[in-house]
Amino acid sequence: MFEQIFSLFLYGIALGGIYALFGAGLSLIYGVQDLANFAQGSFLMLGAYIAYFTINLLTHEPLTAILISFLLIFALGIIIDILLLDRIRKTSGERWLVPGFIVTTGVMLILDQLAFLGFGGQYRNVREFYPMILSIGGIRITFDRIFILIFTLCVFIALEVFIYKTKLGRAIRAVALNRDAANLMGINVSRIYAITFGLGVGLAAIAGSLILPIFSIYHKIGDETLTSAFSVVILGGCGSMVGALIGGLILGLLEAFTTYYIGSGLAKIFFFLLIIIVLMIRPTGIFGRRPA
Amino acid sequence: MNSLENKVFKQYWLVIPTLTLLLLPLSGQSYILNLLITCFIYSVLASFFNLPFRTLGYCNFGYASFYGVGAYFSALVAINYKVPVAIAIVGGFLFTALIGVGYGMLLSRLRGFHYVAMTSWFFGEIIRLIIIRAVDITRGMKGLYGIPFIFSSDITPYYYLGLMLFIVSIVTCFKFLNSRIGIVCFAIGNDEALAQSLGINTFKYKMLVITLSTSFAGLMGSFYAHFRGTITPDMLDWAVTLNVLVFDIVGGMNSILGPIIGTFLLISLIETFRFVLEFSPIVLGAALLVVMLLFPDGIVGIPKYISKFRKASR
Repeated sequence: MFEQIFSLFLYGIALGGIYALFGAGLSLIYGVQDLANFAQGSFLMLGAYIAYFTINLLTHEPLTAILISFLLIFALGIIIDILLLDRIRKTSGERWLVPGFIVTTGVMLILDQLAFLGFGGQYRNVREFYPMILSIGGIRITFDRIFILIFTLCVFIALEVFIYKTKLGRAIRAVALNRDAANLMGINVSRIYAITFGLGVGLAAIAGSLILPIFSIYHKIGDETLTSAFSVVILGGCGSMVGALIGGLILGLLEAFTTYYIGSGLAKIFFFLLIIIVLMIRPTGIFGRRPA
Repeated sequence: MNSLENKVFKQYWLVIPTLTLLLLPLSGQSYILNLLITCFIYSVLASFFNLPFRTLGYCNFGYASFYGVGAYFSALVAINYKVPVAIAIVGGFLFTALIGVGYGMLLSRLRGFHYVAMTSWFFGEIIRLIIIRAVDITRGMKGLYGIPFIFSSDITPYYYLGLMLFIVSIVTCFKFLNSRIGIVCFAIGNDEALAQSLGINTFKYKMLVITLSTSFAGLMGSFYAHFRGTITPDMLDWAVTLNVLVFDIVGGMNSILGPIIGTFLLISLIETFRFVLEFSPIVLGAALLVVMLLFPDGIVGIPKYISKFRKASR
């Protein structure tokens, strides 16, 4: 009994860490650009594929695979931002909320189908990152769960340091607070937007790589987990990294336990109801700081 | 409502497409008639999806679920209780309107584009999951089959019924947008606080628009169910909503003709290139990006764009 609960707890925490990273990227983009990035799931999917092929073809070292995946998707994100989103921002100006989200929807449609054409529809997975089994107090757990958790925490610490301690991070915060004022202070707003978008989707790529030992991936994995990313943002509040971490962990634990005890279909229904109720009662999210 | 659109609806050249649509069954090409019925269904969906989107700025991501609920309701009523098909279809319409009222109450409380999008998306997912899970009633993922048809096997009466529903829906949409209520809705979408300060009960109007939009989705769903005879939970999929959204944007969301033109064009495009069906989402996505980057007003906006370009180059 206790063993069961403990292993579910670990699974929930690992899943929650992944959701937290996924949602943090969305939250970052939303917080800085006011853009609901519907292509976030596609970037998770692409990141997962890149990590998968790196592990299978190049190296067995997961850290390298995650790094490669992050860098490639970061570059792709910057390219997409410069080619598409930047132009939309210039043409629509202040009212870019709806056009921006429509563009990301188009990107999502294209990327998902390209992945299907390129990689086929079959399920792929990596059995494990590190073939190690730990035993704590007689309970055997795979090391990967712990690795995912530690890695997630490291990424979040790095993210906080980046946003609050570096010059670039300060520029990002300034743009998030007031774009025009930041522009007047000599910050290249377009560049900041591109970097934020790249970073946000890069976080999705990290989440995608970490998902490999837990889920099998296929070309629609991004769409299926996209609701979780948005739920993280709703629970954690827009633009808050700590909120995203807490929201993700809550979400992962909730999913692990409810799926085990009441089955995945019902669990999802209750879960969506919960999110709608949260939206009704506290539209800024449980840990939200910014007013709507 | 711009004056151009008013003019369009009063112009005589509209007789030509109407006559063509009326006389098409004489050609006896059931393939084309089938395709056109699909176009009718989707253009009504696109127009009514566009209704809250254009007036209030509410992007209803749960839209496909109402299409599916209408289909499931009328199919189940017709199969299990042997209700006449015509009454079942009206029932599907009324039932979705009823759900739409509750849904409208839910959405009307929210402000902000993203919150509405999220809530409607999750709501749609809940309905889809319920229909998939209620295997005893809906047969789950296997879908319903053996739904009674409206007419005997010939397609021509279906075509005329579809055409009739299409024209009635579009005229309803047009009349609504041009009525006082429609104008009030535009005002709410522009500035809700200002509308409230003028003594407008914004909650009521928002609910009305959402109910109207969802109930026509239900009507089309019921028609589809009794036209095809089989339905699956795929009808409620988010992908359907996305398709409708793409049709809308590509045609031009700021007009009445836009969603219709977008739907007819894109569906015929996909059908023509059916042999490379795997590419259709890419085509849709690319069309979306091209339209957003080059002509934000959609295909309908191209003439205006060209004339502006000419003036500028002179």
